[in-house]
Amino acid sequence: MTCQPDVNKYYALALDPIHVGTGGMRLGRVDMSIVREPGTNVPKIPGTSLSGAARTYAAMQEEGKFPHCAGQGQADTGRGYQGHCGRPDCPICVTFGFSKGDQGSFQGLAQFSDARLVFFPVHSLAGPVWVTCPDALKDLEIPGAEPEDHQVRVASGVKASGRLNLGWLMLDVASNDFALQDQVPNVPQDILKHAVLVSNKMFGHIVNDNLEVRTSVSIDPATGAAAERALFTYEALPRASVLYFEVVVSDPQFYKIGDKAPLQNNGGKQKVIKTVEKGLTLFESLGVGGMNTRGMGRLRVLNLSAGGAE
Amino acid sequence: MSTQNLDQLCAKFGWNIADEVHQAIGKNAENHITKSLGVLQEDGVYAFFLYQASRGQREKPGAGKLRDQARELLKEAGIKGFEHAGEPLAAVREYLASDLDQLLLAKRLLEQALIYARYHAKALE
Repeated sequence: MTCQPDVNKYYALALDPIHVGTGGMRLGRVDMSIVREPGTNVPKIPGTSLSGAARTYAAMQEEGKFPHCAGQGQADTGRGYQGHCGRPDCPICVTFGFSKGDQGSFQGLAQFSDARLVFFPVHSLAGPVWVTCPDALKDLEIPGAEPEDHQVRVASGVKASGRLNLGWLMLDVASNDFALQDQVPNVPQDILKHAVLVSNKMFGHIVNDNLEVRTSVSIDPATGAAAERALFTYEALPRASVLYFEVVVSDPQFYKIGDKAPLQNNGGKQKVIKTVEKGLTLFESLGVGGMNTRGMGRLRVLNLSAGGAE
Repeated sequence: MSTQNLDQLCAKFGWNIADEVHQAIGKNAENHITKSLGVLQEDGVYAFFLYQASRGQREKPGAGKLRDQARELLKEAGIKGFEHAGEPLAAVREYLASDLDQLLLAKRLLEQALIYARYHAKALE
């Protein structure tokens, strides 16, 4: 008997701008900056944000599991909150893990990776285009030659010859043979037809120069106008960004909760995958990250019914 | 080859910018610096200098100080076209804009200095 975890690959399309904040631990142009990869400075959605939201949304859809199995593990008797049930047949606690202090803990059988940016929308003279780079495509196991820093390769739908601007940057069009249609079947064809490939170095510059930045202000109820000193700014991944993440699902038969194998009579590994996907389904309505009540956060996972891409 | 601490350079000019812009336009300093940073990030180095030149009466004194400090920063960093600290718009048009690496470095340096200046200006209010 050998362990063969399932690696489920998901693509996600931002239906709204997405703001997963750093909690003010970063200086920047805006008051509330978003999480980025340290090495490349490219924004991402941390796996913890995906997992936490998926857990809550999955619990909402399982009879009798919300709110106790959705939130933190420790009980709060003052508030009548029982904490995680920690039962070996609970799909929420088995999938996402539980922590019951002295009564034990379990790490959960679904491991979420960070969601990494694959296609990023930018305005150009040829209309909207989706920028990507060889490093991002390497994650999808798509090889490709890297253009020079001053060059761009474009897909057939991008009507540009000679030069193409991506925001304020003007780059030389090296070729119009950048074709991905057959290699990422889950991403909308319209995006793939308007994809452009830039160098790894330029990708971070272009993304950071074209993030959505919003300014908000509190309204003073006495005057009905903006309140003094209540202005704040925040940044977000723009609508129509495409991200990619993986969920690794371990086989319950290799684990024990108490003396029982988890989900033994409740669907096993398939139940774990189903629970993850139930949670991911509600990303489209309830969203991830912050500012959900102010037009932010909705994310459509594009290949849910397939149980992730191969 | 000598090394240069670019963060130190940005910190020095960040402070100078905050101090001088604050002296020139008082409590509008942070707002002007933040807006300038937005223009720089979304529209580039040329737009940033153009923004300074285009300011109205209220912000003009601060915009002039910001332009001068930004030009000095790029001069000290050895950015192409700024060696002789002439007119920054002409330096970007005629030299810097044609060299992608230098242009990106100049933009990054200005961004960092303005981020520091923005927080210094908050502290001065």
